[in-house]
Amino acid sequence: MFQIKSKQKSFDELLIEIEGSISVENAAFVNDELTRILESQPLKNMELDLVGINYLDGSGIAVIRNFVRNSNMLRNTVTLSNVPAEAKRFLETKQCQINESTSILEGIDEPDFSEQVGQGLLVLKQSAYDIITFLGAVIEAFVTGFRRSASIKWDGFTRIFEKAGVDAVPIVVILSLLMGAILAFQAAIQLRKFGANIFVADLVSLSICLEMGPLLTALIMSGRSGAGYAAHIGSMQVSEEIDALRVLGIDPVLYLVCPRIIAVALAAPCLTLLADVMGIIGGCLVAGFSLDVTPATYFNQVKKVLEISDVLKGLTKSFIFGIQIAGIGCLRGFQVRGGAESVGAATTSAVVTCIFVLTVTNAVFAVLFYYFPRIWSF
Amino acid sequence: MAEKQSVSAISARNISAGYAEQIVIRDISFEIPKGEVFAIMGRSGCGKTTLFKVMVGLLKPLKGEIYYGASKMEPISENPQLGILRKLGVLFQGGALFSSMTIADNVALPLRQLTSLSKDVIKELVYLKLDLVGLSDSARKLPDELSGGMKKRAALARALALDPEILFFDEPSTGLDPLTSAELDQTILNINSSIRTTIVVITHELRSAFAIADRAILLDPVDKTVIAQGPPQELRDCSTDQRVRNFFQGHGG
Repeated sequence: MFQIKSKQKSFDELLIEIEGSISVENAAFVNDELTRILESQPLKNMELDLVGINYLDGSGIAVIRNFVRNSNMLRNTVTLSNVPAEAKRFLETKQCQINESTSILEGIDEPDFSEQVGQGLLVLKQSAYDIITFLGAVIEAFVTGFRRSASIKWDGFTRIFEKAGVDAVPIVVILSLLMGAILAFQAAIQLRKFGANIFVADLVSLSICLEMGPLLTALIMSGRSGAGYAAHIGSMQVSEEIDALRVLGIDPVLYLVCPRIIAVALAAPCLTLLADVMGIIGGCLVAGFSLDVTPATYFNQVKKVLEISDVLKGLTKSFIFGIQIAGIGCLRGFQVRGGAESVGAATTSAVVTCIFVLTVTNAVFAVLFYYFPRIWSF
Repeated sequence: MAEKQSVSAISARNISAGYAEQIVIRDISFEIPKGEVFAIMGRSGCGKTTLFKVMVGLLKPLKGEIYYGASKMEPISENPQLGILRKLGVLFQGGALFSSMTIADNVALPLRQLTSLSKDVIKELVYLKLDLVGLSDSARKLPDELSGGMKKRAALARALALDPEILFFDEPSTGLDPLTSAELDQTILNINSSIRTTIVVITHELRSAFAIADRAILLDPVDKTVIAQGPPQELRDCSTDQRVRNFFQGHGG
């Protein structure tokens, strides 16, 4: 395909002749060959003769330019001769020297530490601003929605509720059953040592109803609904659908966000109740099989220790979690700018933000319930 | 001036707009009389879409005002002017159909949300509008199942749902073959002549501008403002401005 011959032309000049075709298939070999010649030759003056070239594509030109630049770096002088007419404007020696294309493929310079901190703070400020504006918009939408309730028709509400609530039933059932069983297993090891087997019912029912049930349900919902809303609204943002709603005179917050918040806020306590029941049943199974506690004894003990206020505390939490999950999902969706990549980022961010906010809220509730233990007791 | 205001459907006064310190358009003023087909033309990147967004209230201008008749347009994000928005119909570049709803539901959405019409009347209206754009057979399809041209027509049906006084078209011919885009132009003309709707078309297609526009403004990406204003044929044939001539000749018009 190609041939490179080098010979000494005069006492201080080397002549390199390239023949054949240089294309993207063999450019790498040509490059290696030229580099080898360049590195092994003591002569400082070189002439690259392209007379035998019958085909030269973009990669061939790049190889020759690379050769010229490398020789310049070694302070060699290179002259090109018999350059094909079509390639002339790419291979003028002057251009090869001046053009610094070396850094174009390196990423954009990382800003230094202080700059990054500054940018981070600006992002923080912007997101705080976004959250507050969004909260305001949601509250405003709810207020207007209630005031002129005739003007808003959530034709898709049942569908949204079904997707957020009913469709999540199977996974909530399975996971909470397992969670109850796991808790019971962990307890079994310790309780058996003291012969306090019956207290497995206390442990499972209280921790499921107060903590695990609401939290587990909320996490499942943030993965399903929160991420789903972020992706849905985000892609609507990308395809101008949100703009279309706006110019139709329909408030996207009122039309999209409010029904979702209500749907998730209502679905979350329902699912949590289901999770509570299934978790206690899971505990019962393990208690029956490995702790010799009969279901009757187990449920008797549950009845003794579990108060209605405990369940209501859990449901209150999950109601608040529901509002947060839908709100965060929608907020992240509205923040999407640009294309598909941004939708993916919004989805991830929705889930991460949900987990963070849920945990913090849970901690607040823990403190609240510690200081006001009589909440919800009748 | 006062007399002029009463006949203008839209008047833009000294509009400057841009994003984050970068000015995209500056000092743009024009009047669009009722019933006119008005084209906003210019090369890519000259701020046509920015101007369009300012006009429909999606973007807050840095300076200047838009008036519809006697009422001032405010940015939707700050103070939505439902009275004005109700009179506007907008066809977005990609159609912007709601992808989770059928075509019929898309057209019905503004009717359901913004009017108190009964179900049966809405059904009739949706059928009428879809028939007008020739899509009555595809009413129960989802937007994804339609071709590009059909999507545009469906979006047009939705924009027409509330019988707007002013229709906006953002690059109606994007992604359409010449034949379909000529059909769309014809539809635009029909709407204009049958119900005297004022129509604003944002376009870089000379052919469609010549075919439909009564008057046009030409924006320039360097000057960022209006460099010519008038009937498109006149601009092409009589302008002495080199930038205007370049625009028309460069397109082989």
